[in-house]
Amino acid sequence: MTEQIRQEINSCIAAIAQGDELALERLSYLVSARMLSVAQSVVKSRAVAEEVVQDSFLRIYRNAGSFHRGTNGYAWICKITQNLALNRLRSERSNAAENIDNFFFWASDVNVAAQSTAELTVREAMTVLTPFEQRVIYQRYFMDFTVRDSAASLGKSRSTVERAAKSAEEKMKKFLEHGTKFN
Amino acid sequence: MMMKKDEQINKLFEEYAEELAPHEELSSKARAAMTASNQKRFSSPRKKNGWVHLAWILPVWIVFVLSLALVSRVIFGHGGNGNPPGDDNTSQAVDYYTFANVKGNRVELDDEEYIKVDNYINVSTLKKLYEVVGERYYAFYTYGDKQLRYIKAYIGVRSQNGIFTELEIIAELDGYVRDDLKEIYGSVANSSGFVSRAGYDESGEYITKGYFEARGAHFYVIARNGQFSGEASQIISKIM
Repeated sequence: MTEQIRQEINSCIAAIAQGDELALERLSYLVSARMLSVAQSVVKSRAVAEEVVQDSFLRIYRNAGSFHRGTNGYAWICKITQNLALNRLRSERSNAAENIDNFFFWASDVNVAAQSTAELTVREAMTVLTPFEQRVIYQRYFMDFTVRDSAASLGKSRSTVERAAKSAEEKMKKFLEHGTKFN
Repeated sequence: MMMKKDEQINKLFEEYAEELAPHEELSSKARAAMTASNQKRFSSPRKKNGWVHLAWILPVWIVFVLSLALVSRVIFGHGGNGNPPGDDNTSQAVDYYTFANVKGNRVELDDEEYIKVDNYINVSTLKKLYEVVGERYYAFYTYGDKQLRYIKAYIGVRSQNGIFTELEIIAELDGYVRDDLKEIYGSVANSSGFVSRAGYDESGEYITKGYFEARGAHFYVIARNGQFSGEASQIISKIM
C-alpha cells in the first residue's frame, strides 16, 4: 500500500467523523476488498465474512471520532475487522479457541478457478508456514500491523512475533526462489 | 527498532491486494446509518440556532463556572490531582462541552502517576468476575485548561459460560456533560439510578446500553454480545 493511499484512508476517517458520506463511499472503495479478506482469514464462510465487513464499517463510522490521527488508519480498520470476525467466530462456536488459533487464510467456499495468479502464489507460499507464522505474516504484510500490534493481537511477546516473522520470511523467500510448484 | 519488511514478500502481497475487487456494497449499513444520522442532525436546526443565539453568554458562563470552581476549591479544599471528586454532588453546576473541545491520550490501567483508571471504572471487580481478554483506556482532557473530562474504556470480557462481551465505557466526571452523549445514549441517560436497556440501534445492531452514577462520575456503557442482553446488563452492573 502506498503512503498516499494510507494518507487518503486517514483523511477519509477524519471526514467520516464529521458525517461526510462521500468519504465513507471512498473508504469503502479503498479498503472493502482488503477487509473482506481479513474477515475471511478468520471466519470460514464468505457470507459471514460479508456480514462482518458490514458491521466493521458501522464500527468505523461510530468510532471515527476517536481515531488517533497520527496513527495508521488502515491497520486500525484491519484491527476492527479482525476483532469483529473473532467475536463472530467465538459467538458461533463453543470450541472457538481451537478455530481461532488456526489460520484459515482462505475461506472454504473460495472458487479456486477464480483466484488470480498473485492470490494463488500467496496461498502456495503460505502453505510452507506454521499457522502461527501464517497469521504473523498476514498481519505484517496485508494488515500493516507492527510487531507490537501483532503481539497484542496474538497474545504473544514481541520477541516471539519477531522470531516468527523472521523465520516465516526466510521460509517464504526460499519457497519463492526455489519452490517447484510455480516453476 | 522497526523490523524492515522483505521487499519480495511485500510486493507479492501488494499484487494480491491490488487484484482484489472492491465490494462497496458492504458499507451499505454504515452509509444508511450515516445518512439517517445526518438527516436527523440537519433537520433539527432549533438546537443549533439556540447555541448561536446564546453564544454571547458562553464567555460569561465560563467565567462564572470557573469562579465557582475556584471558590469551591478555596472553601472545600478540592485538589486537582486527577482523583475523582467526592460524592457530595449537591446541585452542581454543569459545564457543557463538545468532542471538539477535548483531546484523548492512551493511558494504562496501572499508570498511577498519570491517572488511576480504577478510581473511576471498576476494572478490578470486572477482572475478578470475568476473564478480561482485551482492554484499552483513554483519558480525555480539554485543550484549554487541560482538565480531565472523561475516561473512555474498551474492555472485552468472557464470562464463565463462554459469552464474549465488548464493553464501551465512558466515565464522565460529574459536573461535565459532553453535549452529544445524552442524545447518543437516549432515554437511558435520563435516569439517576442504574438502568440498562437492550434493543436494536438505528443501524440494526443489537446492543445493550447502560447508564449509572458512581464515584463522582456518570457512566455511559454500550455492551455488544449478540442477543445476550441479560448477561450484558449484569456485566454493566458490575462496573458500578
